[in-house]
Amino acid sequence: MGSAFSDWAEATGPMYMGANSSWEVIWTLVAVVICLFALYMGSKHELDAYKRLKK
Amino acid sequence: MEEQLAELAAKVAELEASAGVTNTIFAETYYYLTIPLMIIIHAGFLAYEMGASRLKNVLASGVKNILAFAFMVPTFYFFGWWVYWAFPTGITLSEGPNGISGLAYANEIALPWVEYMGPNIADNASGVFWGAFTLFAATTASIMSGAVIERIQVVGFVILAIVLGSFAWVVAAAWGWHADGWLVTKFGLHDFGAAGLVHAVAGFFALGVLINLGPRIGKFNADGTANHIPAHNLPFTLTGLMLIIVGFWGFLMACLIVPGEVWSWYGDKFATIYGTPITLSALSFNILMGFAGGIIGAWAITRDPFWMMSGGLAGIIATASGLDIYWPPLAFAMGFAGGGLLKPCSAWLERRGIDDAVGAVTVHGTIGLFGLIMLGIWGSGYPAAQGPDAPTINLMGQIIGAVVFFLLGFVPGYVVSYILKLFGLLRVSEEAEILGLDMTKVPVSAYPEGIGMSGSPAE
Repeated sequence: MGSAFSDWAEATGPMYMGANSSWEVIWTLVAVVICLFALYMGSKHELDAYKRLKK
Repeated sequence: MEEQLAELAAKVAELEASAGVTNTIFAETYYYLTIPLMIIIHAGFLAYEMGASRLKNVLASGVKNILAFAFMVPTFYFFGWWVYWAFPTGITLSEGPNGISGLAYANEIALPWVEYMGPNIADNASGVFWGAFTLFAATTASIMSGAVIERIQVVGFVILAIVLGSFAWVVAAAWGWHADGWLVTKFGLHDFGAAGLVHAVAGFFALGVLINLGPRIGKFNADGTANHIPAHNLPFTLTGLMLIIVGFWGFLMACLIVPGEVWSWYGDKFATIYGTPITLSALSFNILMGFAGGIIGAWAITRDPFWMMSGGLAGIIATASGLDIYWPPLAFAMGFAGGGLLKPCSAWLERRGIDDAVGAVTVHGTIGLFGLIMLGIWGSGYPAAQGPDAPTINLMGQIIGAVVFFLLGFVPGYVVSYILKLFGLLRVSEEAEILGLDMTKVPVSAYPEGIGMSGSPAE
């Protein structure tokens, strides 16, 4: 993915992944999608369980 | 004027000395406190294993786990610490580029009778470093301990624990977790939080043992299908897993080198064991995100609280190699993947006739290697160690490290357990296994009044 520096002596502040190529924004979006997906699937599982009980 | 200057110089010297003492005491206290924090890992493994055992084997599982810890301490003192300093450049035992490894260096600082291995008013570092590493060693033994419950002999197990904790993983640490380690200097291996060299080595050591040990009676049917052997106290197991997570903060804290000492890499900031800069803030972001991702990943796949808590552990292990450089949402995604992979990987192993009672091979072995290798993609291009000529992290280097760590775990685990099996020291007798190990050899009862309904509450 690349690094913004070749020697750690140059690293004096934030260290963005992928040589400052905005991957931190992409990973944030991925993490949000994962949370929404997990909640959706969890809700589906729970509602299915209640439906099974009614039957 | 001259008098005032001399007075000022004396004052500055006094202040410098005072700051130096403060720093030394801070460093010593920092590592000292990681030791009890890591003992919480063992409290966790103890609860985890005892809860996962059936009622008839609860205390025998506990005895085994406690002894692994106890034997690790003297054996790591006798030779484990020496191995770490002697082996970084390989089996030649020669001195590495940083001059802190090799036979002569190890003999000077780590033999049990030298000045650094006991009370020494001029040495505030050796004892606390040794203590922290001893707890790393005990962690590896505890990882193997859970996988083999309910059918392994105690002495055979202790021998295996010593081989793993005071030798096998120590060689892995010397090669890949030391500034002079050949995997670091030649291939750019980076494994900050020991996903490969602690977790994978211990997980695959356990796999080698499990092949020779065989499954518990009743685990598999004649057609090869597996039966579920339920834990006698799942809440106890879940609490144990949470304690392991608590202890991991101490484990990862001990992976840092504090600033400002003669042996520190920097005067003003924490460093990894490779000399690369790191902050406790980076650790806080990524440990919590990996932990949370692991729980959610396991929940999404299994809905089972046992796998959810194991998923939390897997989430941290999946991110451990790159906790120093990952951006937190990536740590979350890695944790989610680690947690999600657990159950399918464990089921795959079970279909091959391996009875891993707590999923240790998968949680620590498979996920450890997964995390190690994935850093080769996400972290490629970062310098793997300190200095202008340091190699960069790369996928091939991480894969080579993964293969080496797999072999350093699996081969000794398989070979030593095979030898123990030949001498009749590996597996308990069939009668003892059926009756229960507590009734066979433990002189006290876990639940002398049984486990029944509690009395009616007072009105």
